[in-house]
Amino acid sequence: MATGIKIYNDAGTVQIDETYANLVLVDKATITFSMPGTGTYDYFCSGDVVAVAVKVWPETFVVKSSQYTGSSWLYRLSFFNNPETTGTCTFTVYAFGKPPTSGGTVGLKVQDASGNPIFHSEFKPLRIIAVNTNDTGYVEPNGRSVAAMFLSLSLYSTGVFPTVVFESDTLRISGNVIQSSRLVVDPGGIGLARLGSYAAVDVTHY
Amino acid sequence: MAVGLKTWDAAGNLIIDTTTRMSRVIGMTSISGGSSGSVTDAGFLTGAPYCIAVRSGLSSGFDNSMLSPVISFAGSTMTYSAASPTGDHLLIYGVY
Repeated sequence: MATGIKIYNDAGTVQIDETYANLVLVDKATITFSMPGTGTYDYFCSGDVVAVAVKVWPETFVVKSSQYTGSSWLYRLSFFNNPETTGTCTFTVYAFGKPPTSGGTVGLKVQDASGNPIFHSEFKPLRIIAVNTNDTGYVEPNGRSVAAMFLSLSLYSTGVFPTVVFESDTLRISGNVIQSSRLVVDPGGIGLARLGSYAAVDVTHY
Repeated sequence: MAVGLKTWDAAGNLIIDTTTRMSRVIGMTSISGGSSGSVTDAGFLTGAPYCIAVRSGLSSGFDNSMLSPVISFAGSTMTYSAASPTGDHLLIYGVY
């Protein structure tokens, strides 16, 4: 690196440089919808490379699929009673994308060689604190707030006489705790078994 | 803190300090069901690599095509395999 900036954390990991964009919070929404048993919600967001983390309780969730066209994103989220049934599902979604080109009037701003914003201290960064397999929970210290970002879906074929069903590891999050529950999600095929993973995201003060 | 960066939000809450692990995105690509391949980028060496793999499109239910691709990392290379029955997926990859 001839010119530019690199900032490291105590572990020697790069936090900010002028090459790769930090993902930052571009949208946060708390949504309630009617859900007597299971439910699907399509979350829309605009941005350049958008990833979503979710906080929901007592229901559990998975990220089912995604579709993007240009800078328009749709994430299809599936929610499940587990087994508590409230009749509605309330969740908070945190969308992280590349730093917006507008906004951010004070603070530290880093641009790449093309002038694209890489980091701006006015936008809250995606803070991944752990990556776990979907069949395990996670606990942060009290006082912190976490959300779960699916990195990949778990999918298992399980025989339940007289049919075969799909099971998946679903997650729910309250405060500083992420819990995992393996649930039947649909009738299914045979012979599949893949364990996915998720990122625990620190959303304290987000 | 001997050296490093600290930032606060407008309410005075600490957002970044020298212990914070911050995600940096290296790239994004769409892969087809049945395909395999790799992405090599020196950026993978600058932190712990991760990859978000999500089924492309608007799935109405769960089916075999939603089986996640197999992702692995070695040095500066991320390798993926979307062998059948895995369907089309979107990959967002970076380091933290």
